[in-house]
Amino acid sequence: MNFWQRRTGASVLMLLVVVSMLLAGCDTGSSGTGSKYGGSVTIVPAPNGVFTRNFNPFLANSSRTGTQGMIYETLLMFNRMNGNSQPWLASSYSVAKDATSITFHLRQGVKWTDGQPFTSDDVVYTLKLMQKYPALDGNSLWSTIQSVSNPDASTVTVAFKQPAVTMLWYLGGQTYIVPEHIWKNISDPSTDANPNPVGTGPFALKSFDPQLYVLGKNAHYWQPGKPYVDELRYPAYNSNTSADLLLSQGQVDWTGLYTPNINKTFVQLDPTHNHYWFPPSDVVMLYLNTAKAPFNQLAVRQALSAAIDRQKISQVAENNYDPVASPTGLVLPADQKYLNAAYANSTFSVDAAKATSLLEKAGYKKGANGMFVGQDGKPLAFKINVVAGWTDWLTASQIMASDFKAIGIDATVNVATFNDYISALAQGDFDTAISWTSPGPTPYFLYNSMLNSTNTAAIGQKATSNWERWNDKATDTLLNQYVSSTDEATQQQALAGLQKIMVEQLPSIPLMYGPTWYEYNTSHFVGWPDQSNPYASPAPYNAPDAELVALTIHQP
Amino acid sequence: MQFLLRRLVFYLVALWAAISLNFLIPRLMPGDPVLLLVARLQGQVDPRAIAALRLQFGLNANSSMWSQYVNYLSNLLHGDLGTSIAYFPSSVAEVIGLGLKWTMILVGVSAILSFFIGTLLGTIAAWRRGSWFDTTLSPLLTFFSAIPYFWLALIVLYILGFLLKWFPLTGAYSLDLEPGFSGPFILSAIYHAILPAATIVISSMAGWMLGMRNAMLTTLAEDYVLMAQAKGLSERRVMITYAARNAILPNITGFALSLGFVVGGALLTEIVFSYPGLGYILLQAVQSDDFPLMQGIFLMIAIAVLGANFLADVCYVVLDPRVRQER
Repeated sequence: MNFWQRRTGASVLMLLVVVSMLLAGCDTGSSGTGSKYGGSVTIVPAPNGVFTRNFNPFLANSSRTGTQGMIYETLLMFNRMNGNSQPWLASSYSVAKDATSITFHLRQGVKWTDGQPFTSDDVVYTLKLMQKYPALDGNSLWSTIQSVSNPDASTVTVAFKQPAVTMLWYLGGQTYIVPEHIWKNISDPSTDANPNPVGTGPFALKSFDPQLYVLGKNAHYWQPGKPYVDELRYPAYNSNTSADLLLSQGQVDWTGLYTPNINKTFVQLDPTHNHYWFPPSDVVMLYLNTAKAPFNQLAVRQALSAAIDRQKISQVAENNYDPVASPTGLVLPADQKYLNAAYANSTFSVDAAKATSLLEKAGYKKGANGMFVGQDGKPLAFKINVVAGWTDWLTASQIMASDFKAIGIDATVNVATFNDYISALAQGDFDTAISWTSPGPTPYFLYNSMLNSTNTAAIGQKATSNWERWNDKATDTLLNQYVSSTDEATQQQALAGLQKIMVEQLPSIPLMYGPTWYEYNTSHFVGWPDQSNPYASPAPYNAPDAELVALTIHQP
Repeated sequence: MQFLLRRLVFYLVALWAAISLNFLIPRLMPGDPVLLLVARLQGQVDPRAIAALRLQFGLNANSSMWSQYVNYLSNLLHGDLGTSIAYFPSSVAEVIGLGLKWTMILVGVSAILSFFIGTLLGTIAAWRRGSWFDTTLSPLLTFFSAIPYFWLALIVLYILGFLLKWFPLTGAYSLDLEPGFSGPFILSAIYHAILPAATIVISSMAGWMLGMRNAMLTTLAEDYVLMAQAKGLSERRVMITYAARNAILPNITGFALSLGFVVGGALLTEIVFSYPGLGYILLQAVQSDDFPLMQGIFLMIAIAVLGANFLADVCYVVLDPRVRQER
């Protein structure tokens, strides 16, 4: 009996193995046949559970990756790697001299995938939709927009309540145009999953399954000869591990995953085809609560900054993936052209002696135990908040705490759950915390979210992004100068001033860059962005940047 | 009958308590789904999006706890579990439906397999106590169950899937196939389920086996077993009908509980094998403060546990004459 059972068991297993081999054999594969055209790209932007059929471009956080960019397009295409833009659905634009309006001239001959022509009515409709449903207005456009008009079928003018050059990014680079003739029939676009999207983009939904969705090539795309690839496949993976395994086997072409020890686990398995590039995307900061003592004292902020061994943090905590940040708070090299010439070569250096003398000059004295005590007799002690389980930042915080202890400051690491961590930041209920910044195509965006007093709140009230509670007239004036001028020299002057504030006032302390995660395999497709050709922000989760990558890659 | 009726009333009260706790507990947790979402994306979401997100999720309403509770109960009665935040704008029922079938098949089948194989092995081990079968199998299975599950699963996946390529690395079926009731699709689904199911069975079997073995040993010392043997009944009949039938009762209760928890999914299995299911959906719900989705899944678990326990009670009535005769 046992024998028979074992036999059947084994033969069932064999049968399954054979069947699967046959199935695997059916896979046509996409290896190069000499033609630039064709092939199917497999993309894993990030681990995800099952997919829901949501292709609503306004619901950026729950719609499927690719909805923005691959299916629905923007008026302009910005390259976050250098801040330049190129014409997209708009063939040109002009910003009014006083920066109170922008006029877009739309491209002729663009068609929706259902054959209807794309006109200025669609653009106006899209913007008015966001006015009618504030839930769709993800960038608060209507807090700035005064009115929208379209004098003819290919012109759209958007007027603002106050000068706002940065609206070019939000309107041109981050607003996805939807077709009026379809969306006017949707009863409530703010809760509609838009299961059958019709866009202008290079790809359209081909098939959907909770485990895999496929975007197929739009044969009538407005850029002649593009895209080169036939389809984009997005499979669902629950964990980095499984996506990593497939990536290393060449079954996945493009991912945006954090991979520890990437040279060993990925590149070395196939050095000619397996590549990665982690360009800096934002600056990781040590936020100091400047609304309270001792962090309201410049000397203390300067001393803390001088005590930190950033090189060690980058090496030990971050696998060398994240280089040490610039003191200016710029994301280099992407922001290179905005760099204030005075800081062209400025870098951070560890200087414990300087830190000590700064504190002594500020009135702190070393007590019997070698730790600093303030003039009020209180020891100089604080906590560094970090999220439990974010091991790299945890290590970084521990390194900083020991750096601070070494010069006589009693710093301790405060590990909290994500919930507690983020609510402490928002409410101002913290001493210091390691955290991220919100970048944009120019340095203005990072500075504005981090430093503008309109983004902060009193301690105990929720601040949106200025968590360190920097409240400075000069800073606000510079930010306002940038946003209300169309003159590049004036803008650059504002950015240079903001850099000066970052370097001299240290509203928060730059540590290292936060990377963009991006791994790719060149065995089936080439033309990927890399360090020598940074034509787009390369992560598959960045929209609409990923569209540019999908339009450029092709079979070898 | 009266016994079952009494149990039924108990289960209804328990269900109400479960539903109410289900409502309360997520609301006692600190956190704000919108801030969490913005924060989790670490700068990818412009802070300007916060107001719009709040509106999207309907979080601006400042209604009292009591009116929320009444609303929640009335929606439940209408079968409306609400709208998920993590999977916005899909309804909770739709999201649960995405994972439920895979969870039921994978975890359900492996729980049943594990129970039957483990109980059978335990019965045989106790019957032949001291034999090589007993002395090798018990430590071996204990060893497997002592290995942390995710480690066992990763090793199995790495060796059988990655190195030997005998089994697929991820997913519930081959993505080249159109899902449906077609031969190739079902074969592919079975093929993909073998590794995850096998790891669950291997790691959970020991519990059933040891439990059954111990209960059997006690039962085997009973007079009626001796009596059955003295009557000259066949060995198999004494083992199954006399000893095992009495020894299995505690295992049945345990089995009912574990069946109930099947709908909670097998989070580690789902993560290691990238297998779709409710465990991962629940994890995402917790991570994004998605109260409606959490409540929906907890409700399912509560109903399933209570329902399975009720079935266990019914089984007791059938298996144990003493229960039938009480009062």
